[in-house]
Amino acid sequence: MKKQRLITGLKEDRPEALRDIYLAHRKAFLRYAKKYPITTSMAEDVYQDAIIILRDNARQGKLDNLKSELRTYLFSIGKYLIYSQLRAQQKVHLVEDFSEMYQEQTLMTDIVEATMHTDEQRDQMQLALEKLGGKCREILYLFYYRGFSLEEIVEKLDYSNKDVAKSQKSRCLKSLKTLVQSPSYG
Amino acid sequence: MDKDLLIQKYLKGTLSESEELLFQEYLEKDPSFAKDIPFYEGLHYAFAKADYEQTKSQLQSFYKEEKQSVWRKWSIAATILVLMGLGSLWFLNTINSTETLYAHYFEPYKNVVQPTVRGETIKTTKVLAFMAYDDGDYDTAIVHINELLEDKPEAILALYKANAQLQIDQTEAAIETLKSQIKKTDTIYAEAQWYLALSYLKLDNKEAAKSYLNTLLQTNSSFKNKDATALLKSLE
Repeated sequence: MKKQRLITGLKEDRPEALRDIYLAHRKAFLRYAKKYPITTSMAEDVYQDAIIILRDNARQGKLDNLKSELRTYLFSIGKYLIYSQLRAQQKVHLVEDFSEMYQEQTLMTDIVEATMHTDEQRDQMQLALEKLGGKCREILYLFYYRGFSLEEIVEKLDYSNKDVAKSQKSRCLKSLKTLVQSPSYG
Repeated sequence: MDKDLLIQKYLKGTLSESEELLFQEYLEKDPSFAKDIPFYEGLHYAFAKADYEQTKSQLQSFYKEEKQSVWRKWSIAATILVLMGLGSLWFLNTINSTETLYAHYFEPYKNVVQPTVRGETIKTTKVLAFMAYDDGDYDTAIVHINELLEDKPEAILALYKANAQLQIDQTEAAIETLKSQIKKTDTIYAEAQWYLALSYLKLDNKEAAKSYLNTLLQTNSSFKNKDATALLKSLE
């Protein structure tokens, strides 16, 4: 089934899956967004954010038993984002209740937060990650951000076993902590 | 329960009720645990931000890619109209020369793997490879892609390597890359067939080009189906 294939593609971070979903509904969404008092570039922005949220939810396995069509789901996220933007601009009172539908959308806050300003401490973390080296960054990314189990990490990064992955993770974490604490490295 | 796992679940927002209690208990009783939480939150935030920004620019590149391909279709149509208008036998002969056909159909596979993010500070080998690729510095791109492939063979990277090789006229090497590193089970098998066909076209080997185009059309992928059909026709 096409829907399931796309969802699996998103979970496995296949760029083709992301591209196909993005291009398939883009025009229709922009047309749909014309109903609301927002500019085209804002609609485009909202659409991209909706795709990212869809992808994040797919990664977390929340779409595994999705009953509706992907398009319906995507549009409902988009609609929600438009409403929150309009509400922020105080152009509309949120009359529809989305709370039940979106209680699981934990990542929404991440995205909103991610677009906000960064403070010094956060820059330091970014700088430290940059210094850390690709392999370490990847294992930390998979464990602490994507929530992969050690078994999944062993498979994804080709470690020989769980213990190797685990000690590698601790080593990387330690280096990162050192880097964050002593940023005066040149 | 493993503290690491607890932190992972906390960051993911999937602590169960009893895990939540355990988490609170650690926070109160274990100062080093409590001290580390802002660090983990910062880590999570940095990854979320990088992920978001990277995906965002990836999506933008998809859109640009689509726009360009629409433009290219029109430009091919326009070229054909002009050629028909001229009605010259000479033009009709040359449009089917393999070299012209290659030039007509070849466009490097778009970088959809690692969008180049302006001002991005973290530069992995992958980022360097695709920055070079996007800049048209194919020699450098090949060097970096080779490093990545040595580390871990990945079909998609081989496809980019072959494209870079085609760009700098290492046609035979490109064929070798496509044949040896992309298997039938890979998701980009169809893409590889397309570039194999174009490679042989460049070497003026029409028969081989035709056979790869036929293989491409037999796959389930819709990649370049129209182009492949049109190209096959011109080669008959």
